[in-house]
Amino acid sequence: MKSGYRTFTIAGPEGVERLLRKIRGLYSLREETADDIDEQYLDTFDGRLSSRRLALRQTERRFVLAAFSGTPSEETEGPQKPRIFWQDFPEGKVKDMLAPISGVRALCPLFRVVGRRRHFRVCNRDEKVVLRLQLETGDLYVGEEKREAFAPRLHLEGMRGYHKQFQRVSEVLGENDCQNLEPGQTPVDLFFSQLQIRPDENKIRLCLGKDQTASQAISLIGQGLLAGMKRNLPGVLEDIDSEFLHDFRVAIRRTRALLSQFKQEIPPGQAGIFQDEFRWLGSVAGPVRDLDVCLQKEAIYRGLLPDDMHAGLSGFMEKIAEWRERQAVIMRDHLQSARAAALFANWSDFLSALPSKIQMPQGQIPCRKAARKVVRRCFLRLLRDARRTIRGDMQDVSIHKLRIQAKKFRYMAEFFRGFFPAPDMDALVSDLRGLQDDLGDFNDLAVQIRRFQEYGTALSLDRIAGETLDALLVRLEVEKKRLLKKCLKRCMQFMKQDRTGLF
Amino acid sequence: MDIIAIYSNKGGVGKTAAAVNLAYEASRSGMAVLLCDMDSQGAASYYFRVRPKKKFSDKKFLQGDINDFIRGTDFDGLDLLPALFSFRHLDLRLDKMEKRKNGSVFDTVFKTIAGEYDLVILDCPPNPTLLTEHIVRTADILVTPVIPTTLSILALQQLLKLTVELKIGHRKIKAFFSMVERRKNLHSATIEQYKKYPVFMKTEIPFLAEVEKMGINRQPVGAAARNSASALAYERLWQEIWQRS
Repeated sequence: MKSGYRTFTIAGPEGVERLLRKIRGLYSLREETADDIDEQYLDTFDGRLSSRRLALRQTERRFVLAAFSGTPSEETEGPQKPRIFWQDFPEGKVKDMLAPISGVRALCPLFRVVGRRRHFRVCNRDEKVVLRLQLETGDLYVGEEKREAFAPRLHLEGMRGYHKQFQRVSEVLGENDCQNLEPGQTPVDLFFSQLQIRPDENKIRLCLGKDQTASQAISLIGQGLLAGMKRNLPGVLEDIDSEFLHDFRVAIRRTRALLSQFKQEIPPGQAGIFQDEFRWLGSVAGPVRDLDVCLQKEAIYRGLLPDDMHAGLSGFMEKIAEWRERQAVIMRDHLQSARAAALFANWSDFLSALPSKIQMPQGQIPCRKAARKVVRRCFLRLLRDARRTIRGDMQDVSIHKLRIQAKKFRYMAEFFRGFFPAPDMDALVSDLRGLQDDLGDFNDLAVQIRRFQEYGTALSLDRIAGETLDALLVRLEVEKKRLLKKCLKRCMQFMKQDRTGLF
Repeated sequence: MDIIAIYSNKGGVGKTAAAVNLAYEASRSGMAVLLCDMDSQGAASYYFRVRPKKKFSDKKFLQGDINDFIRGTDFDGLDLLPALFSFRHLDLRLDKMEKRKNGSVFDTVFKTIAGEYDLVILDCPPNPTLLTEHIVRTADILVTPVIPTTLSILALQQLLKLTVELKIGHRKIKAFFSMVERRKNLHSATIEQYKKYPVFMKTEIPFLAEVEKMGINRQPVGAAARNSASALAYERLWQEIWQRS
């Protein structure tokens, strides 16, 4: 059995032969086999696998899903496509593992490792194998572009009962400028760090200092959100997966929330212009998103309908998919328009210049003070809308308002989370997340019902698809009532605790 | 963890060849296997080019202090506990222990590695001794090679008698015809006479030079020549033993 595994990086290809000579001086070293390495590493755009320290490697049709450390690992055959979804894999462990992690996200190529792997055995005087070595050399590619060679790496695989030889060879490598991996570091980590890929690079990292002004904070947050939009835009235009559009829209919504909450800190007139433009940008992306949600819920709709209506549902969903394609073309035109480009450029220029606009006295107050005021105001409005929802008659409408208010508060609380006691804020955000999930489910359903009614009129459905849609609407109305009750219950739970003292 | 002992009180019947090759085939089937060389000649250790560590002793072995002395073979999933020349004294040591305690000493010996291996194969020395009794009690399966000759059959009968004496029944004994030379009338006649007994496996191991060459190649026949007749015979034998156990 194996006992001990260690990886060393070797400085430069010339160092490799020198090292092999050194080992030959101690033991009998024999090259057994050699094989080519051509492995494509895949992940979702937001690094869902790598953030869990999982790596999906593809060599032609063979896929290996493994922990960064190498074990455990699962293998399967899979499709050769530029972007793959978990549904594309055959039934088995890889598919089961990927499903909850990648979800609706496509697995796209991250980088490719092309090189050579040589296998050696180190033997003692009896020609007994006491240690195995694997030497890997090669280059890293991103897309078709060759980036750089990776540092040659030597993997030592110890054999049980031959620890002394393992130690001796490790010492020789250490004495000859080879770097042992740091504890917890794996060979896969080396690829990621060499290519500067960070699993969480899509998250906005805000470092707001208490001495910063409100303008500086708005500028920083706005730029982070704008970067988020720009990062997701190519994926939206290429239509890689539905999450690009979702994240793009979230960044727009957050920007609009920022503009609406900091009107006084922004030069008069400017906030309104950008509000209108971002509203427009959000609206052009709305129809496709609604249709995406509808397509993603097909399995749920199927579960709500009797078996004899499944064929009708398939027909209806095909029409929805076609419509989505048409809407996507319109959306792409808008997103690539001069208006959109001008908005991004103007907003970027505006944010860069904002901290120096000293004629705005409100913008010069400490951001901590401004943040406290804004977060408190949002929280009080959230409570007000929650109370209205509980006792109101038009609960559909008030739930919609409450949902918007909850989002605004959540955005602000996240932007400025560093200014509040972490445990209290975390507990509040956690409770709020539960409420938001229920409100979101209710809203999704309300939107779907509304959209289905529109689709029913706009799409030329055949009789079977039409009857299916009618039946589905009835089921969704029943579901909506159930969700309404759930929302109200959750709302009351949320209101039980008095948290106004936090702000 | 199952324990298979390869035993016959007759020498030269192919015990070590069977132990080495069955252990190799078991590991190829995906099992984590420990081959325990209990014969002081150390032939199994020799085949795998494994020497014992200096600090290992028969006393440590009987105390179950074996973890640090197990060594990896050149093959995945197959480790070996090498034999010591001092294993020739195991009987004497067991005799002293016997006065203190009844039952099999091997229950303790292999306790420390129970979670690590799926299978332990014991390559036992010949002769019916106290050590044999402990092995017979401990093993889940007793694999006994039988050359199709009178003396070898006699050795099997003695083993069957021993199991009766120890009240453990015949069912754990799996005999197979070893070193078979079908061109010899005696071999063919003996096989015809005894093959009907359920104690015998259907698979025979022929007498082939490849097996003898293990001493030169110092590896299992399956590793030296995967598709050789003897390698395939041991593979079949392993599958039959495992299926019938």
